[in-house]
Amino acid sequence: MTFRSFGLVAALAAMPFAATAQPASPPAPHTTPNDAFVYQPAAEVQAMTHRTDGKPQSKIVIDHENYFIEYVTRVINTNAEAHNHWYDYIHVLDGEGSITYGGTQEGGTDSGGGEIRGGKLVGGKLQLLHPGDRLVIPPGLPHIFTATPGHTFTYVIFKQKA
Amino acid sequence: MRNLPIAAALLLATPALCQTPLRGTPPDGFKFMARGEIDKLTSKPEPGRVYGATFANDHENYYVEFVKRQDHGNMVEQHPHWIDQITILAGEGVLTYGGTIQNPNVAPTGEVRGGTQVGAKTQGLHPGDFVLIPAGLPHTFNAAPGKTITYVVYKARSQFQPPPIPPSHLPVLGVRLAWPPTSPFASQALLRPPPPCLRYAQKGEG
Repeated sequence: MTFRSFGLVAALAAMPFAATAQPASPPAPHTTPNDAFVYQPAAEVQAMTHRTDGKPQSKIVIDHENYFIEYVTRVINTNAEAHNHWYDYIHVLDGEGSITYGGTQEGGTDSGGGEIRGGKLVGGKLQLLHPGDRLVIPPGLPHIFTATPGHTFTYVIFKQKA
Repeated sequence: MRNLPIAAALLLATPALCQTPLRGTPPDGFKFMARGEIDKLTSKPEPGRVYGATFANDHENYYVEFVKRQDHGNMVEQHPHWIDQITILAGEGVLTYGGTIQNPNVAPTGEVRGGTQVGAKTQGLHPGDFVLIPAGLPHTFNAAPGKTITYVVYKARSQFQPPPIPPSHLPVLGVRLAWPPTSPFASQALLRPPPPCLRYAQKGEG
């Protein structure tokens, strides 16, 4: 290898690092160490989201920079939400509920990180949900999850950064 | 500086050896699937297999898979680059995990399907249970005798383990690469997401 070609190769090798140069103080990543084997029996999973005071409850069981897994139990809920940077892959586990999705979210506020909360959902569509059903909610799509009156509604979400 | 040409050669050689397309699909829109639809997709075993599986959202770094297994014919598996995050949906099953795999049947991608799992532990599985199988952990999913088991897997590509260097990358320019790399340049390159040709394109390799 000539000295000249060595220089070219070295320059090419250095390019990716120059291109990915970070600002002096990047935000702290929302990351956790690599996960070891986990087994959580159903009773434990249910206990994480079970409350007797009638309030909704959620629990993140696996939490990483680009994805996390969350179990959620809801009661009646009227709060609209949209996640501008996350896909929700949802599987309904228990109870009865519905999702209202689409349309426009009027008066919502960004509670940080592109998470729009509150306001009114205008022009949304309604889909009833039962155990075993599955949903994909793309980033930015406003939606409201609620339990059917007199029921609770439990589902698991695989959240993936867009 | 001695290892710089080696790192450069690795980076340059990589695109040239790309043979597999990305497994990525366009971004997902809103989708609703009723339970019956999912059941239908998993109720028939795949050709040549004893279990039914369906990929629901297939992307480069993650995908969703619904699986229904029977009580026989399941093989020990090992995914060096994928993390399985599982919610049990129906039926009863037994998970055999850990230990080592003797006489493993290794695919070119590094995925193991088949062999003898020794020194493993077992765990009964019931609807509602959550299981995480880290990348590299040997495991076998079976339904309980006479039953079936259905579960949903959220697969995430492990960002923590660099891919094994394929034999096709060695040697480069007559130089056998140190593995794992000793150059800080080379190791940084490997900590980034793997280049396309090191990724898996074939379904069923997760």
